[in-house]
Amino acid sequence: MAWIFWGVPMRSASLAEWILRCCTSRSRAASIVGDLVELRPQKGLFWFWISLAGAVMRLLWRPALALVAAFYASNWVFSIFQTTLWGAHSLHHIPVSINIPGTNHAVPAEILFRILVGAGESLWLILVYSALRHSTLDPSTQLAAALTAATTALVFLWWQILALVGLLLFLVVVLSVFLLSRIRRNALVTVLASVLVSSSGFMLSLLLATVWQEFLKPRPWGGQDMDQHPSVLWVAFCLMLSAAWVTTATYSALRNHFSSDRLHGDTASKLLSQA
Amino acid sequence: VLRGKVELGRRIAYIVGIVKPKPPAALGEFEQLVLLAILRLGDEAYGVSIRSEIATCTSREVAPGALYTTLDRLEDKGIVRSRFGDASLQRGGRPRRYFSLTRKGHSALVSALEAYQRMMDGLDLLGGAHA
Repeated sequence: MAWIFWGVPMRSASLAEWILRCCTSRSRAASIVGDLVELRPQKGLFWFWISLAGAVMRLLWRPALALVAAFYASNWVFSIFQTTLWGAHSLHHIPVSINIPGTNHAVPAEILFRILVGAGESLWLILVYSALRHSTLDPSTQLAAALTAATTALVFLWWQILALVGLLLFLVVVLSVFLLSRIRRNALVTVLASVLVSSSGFMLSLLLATVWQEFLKPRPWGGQDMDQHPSVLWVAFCLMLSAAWVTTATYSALRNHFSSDRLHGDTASKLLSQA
Repeated sequence: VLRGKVELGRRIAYIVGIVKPKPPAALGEFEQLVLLAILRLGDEAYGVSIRSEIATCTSREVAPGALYTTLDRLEDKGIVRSRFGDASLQRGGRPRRYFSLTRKGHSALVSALEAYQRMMDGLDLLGGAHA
């Protein structure tokens, strides 16, 4: 039968490859499944699937742990940043709108704060995930660390002109360094695209959670209402976790895409397209 | 150009003693086995042959998942590099991924084996009182 290779139905091998591609890059998944297909005549079909399950487990435990840790860290940072920004706002009587230097435009402080909180939360998510999953030596982790440090400093010191100038200089240096080489440019694209996905995802999840809350009972909500409708918390939690998962999946996919290009050039893509 | 200047600066710093050279990457026992298997196999080192070589030399059946995660980790650390071979019918049209040691991997392995050798000096484990 044409769809059988050495005793392994082609559909099984394709399914196995599709499963592995969810956990690693396309080229690595193809080579692992190729090895399993090669050994299948000696070891059997049961061994094939058990080995695949083992490989998936080993490839997944680290990303899963990294996702949980990153999600926890980002939520923690979210609450700290919110408290700090709005606390400083009321404590220092900061004006409701902030003038952009050199222009006549004024931006409401609320919008700037929300952008800062969103960017900070996303960057912390990416930093923790990347450090645990890909090590601190990875250029994407290093860029995420630099941007996270800058954003965190901005949250705590944004009303001090000297700090703003220092941070601006720091960002210019970091961006210049990361624009110089191709590997670092790829890291820049990976981190910035992930921040965009993360911010959009968190905003969408908050919107959907609010819609669900309004659907259950229109505002205002009291403590008793929350006890009567615990699904509000669970829905919000699941939506936020989904947003975090989409972010980390995007981050890993982009990183794998770029590192695959870097390591194997066109060879892997050519071979895979021939296969 | 910039990378070259950074490298030159680093070398000068080593020479004048400002910066100590980086120690070779630490390797676990299984990582050493994998690297030795790659060295023994030469150009034919890919997942199946590495697994088989370890089994032949150590009578130890290696789980494929453990081997691939180790190889991925070693590649991410720059200790091994990989290239793709030709796709074959035997493998369902999928290419083999061949591994070889980088210079960094070679020095890490030599350093790990030297450490073992130093620990074994003076002990007659293979034929003396401890055998």
